[in-house]
Amino acid sequence: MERPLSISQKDVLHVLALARLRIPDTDLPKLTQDLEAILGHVELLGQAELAGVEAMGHAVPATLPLREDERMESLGPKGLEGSAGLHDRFIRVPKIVE
Amino acid sequence: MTDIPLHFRSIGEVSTMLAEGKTSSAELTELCLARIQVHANLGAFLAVDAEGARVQAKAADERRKAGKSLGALDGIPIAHKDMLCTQGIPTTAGSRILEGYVPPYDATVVKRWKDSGTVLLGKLNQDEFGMGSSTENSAYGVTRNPWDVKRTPGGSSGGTSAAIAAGLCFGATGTDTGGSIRQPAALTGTVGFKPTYGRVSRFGCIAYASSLDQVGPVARTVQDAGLLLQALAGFDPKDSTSIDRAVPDYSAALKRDVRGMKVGIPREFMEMPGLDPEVAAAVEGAVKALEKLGASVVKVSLPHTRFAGASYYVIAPAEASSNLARYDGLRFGPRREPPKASLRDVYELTRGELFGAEVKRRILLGTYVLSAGYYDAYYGRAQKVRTLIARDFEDAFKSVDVIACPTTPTAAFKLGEKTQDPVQMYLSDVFTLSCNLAGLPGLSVPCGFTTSKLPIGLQLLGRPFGEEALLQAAHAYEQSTDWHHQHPELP
Repeated sequence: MERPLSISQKDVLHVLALARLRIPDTDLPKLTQDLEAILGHVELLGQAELAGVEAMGHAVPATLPLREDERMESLGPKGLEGSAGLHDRFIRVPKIVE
Repeated sequence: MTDIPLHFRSIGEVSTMLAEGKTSSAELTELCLARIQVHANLGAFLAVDAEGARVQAKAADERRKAGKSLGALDGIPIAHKDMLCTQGIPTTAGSRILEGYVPPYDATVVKRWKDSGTVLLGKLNQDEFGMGSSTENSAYGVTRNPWDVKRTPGGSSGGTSAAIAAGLCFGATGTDTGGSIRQPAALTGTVGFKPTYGRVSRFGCIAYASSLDQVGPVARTVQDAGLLLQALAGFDPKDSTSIDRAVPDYSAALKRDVRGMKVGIPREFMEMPGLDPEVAAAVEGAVKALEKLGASVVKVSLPHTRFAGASYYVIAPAEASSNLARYDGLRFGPRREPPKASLRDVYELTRGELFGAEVKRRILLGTYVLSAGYYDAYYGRAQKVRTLIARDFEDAFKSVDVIACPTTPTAAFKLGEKTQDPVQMYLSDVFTLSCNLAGLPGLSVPCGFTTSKLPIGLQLLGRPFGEEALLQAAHAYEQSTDWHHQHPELP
């Protein structure tokens, strides 16, 4: 299994950005160390003999069920009540278009 | 049995007492509410709805008086893991990112127990988003093991298992993605049941890893677990992974003995490094007891067991990184938005500050293994290993009816013992993970104690939708022992 021998702090910063997470700079070394240890734990996958084996995404052989295209009840405005930025019937967010 | 205090009685027993007028739902509810307060130091509950519980108890007693009881669960005080949405009652999944969130709807499993007449006492503590094996990852404080308050009750359903073990309620839900019902049940001397994937609806269950998560009951006896599962199980059109298959009468399974049943012992599990000799001895004793009851024991092999941890700790974080992307500070929970913050700032600051350390680790791990250049090496391989693990079980079940093994490698560990090294904590799931990867049903039933009087669990694993065989074997074993009558020494 090919991967770099260690995960660098630069790699972790890249993944933090992908995951939309921000941490204090002081947390970066320990986090990198922890991820390195966990990746070491999963390196074992490289030893499995997998020729001709299909990937399993789901334990039960089921396909996505469809339903009739008919109108049903929904939560409506109640579904928005958990938002910290609720404004009338909208959720306020910072401006994204300059 | 009359010297067992009321709060440690089984649902089966108190249900009979309710029917005979020897107690009332109001009395049981007040008893539980009082005990929850007295034992607040255990940290089992995150939210208690005393007023709501009293109203429900009164309604249950009135139904019974009018001859309109809803059945064996009517009037029984229960609680739900905080991973399950409960309308009008705060639901946090043990995380600060859902602090103050009050769901506008009930999860299907919450509704099903409600429709059976149960009395909802409140919500139970857990590791944040189900990620953990000790409940030390809860953002709201640890839960303590009622058998030894310096030890963990396991996780992630630690509040659930502690509440049942301490007699704070009569039944409770947990969720199990890698062992989070069975492991805490083993560490607290209770019965925990993870059903076959798709047997119980996940609608309203906050998602951790969608191809692995299942909801199941924790109780003080196997019969109780069966009763509780009966009310949970069944097709739900609101859950696209719910399997449309008839639910059998689980109580009928309890009437069958184990004569002729074949019990498989997986070699790789019993030879696992780190398996405590006292745990091994207790499990071997339980298997001998099953043999005495008429079962035959067959050695089986699950050759890809050693890859289960690696496969799980790629697949589960990968799925979690996708599921937890919805927690962005916009639609639910608190928001971090300093002046002049951009939208990206809101996402990053909210998630960075309000997710705990373990959740952040797993999101990052999941993002990494799915990222360009690493997807095939990690996630692709993990999914193929999952196929091999499932095949191992398929092969084993050609010659046995159930598989028996330890639930955990050790008894309950001390608070703080494994929090510094995430991989150390992951190793405590070594016996439970493969069941989730293969989508099989599994339960833990008490099978003894260590010399330090800490509970030990026997795990039974079954074929897909083989819940009846598990109940049959577990009940027969339980009834031949005294373990389920032993309770922690609490006032």
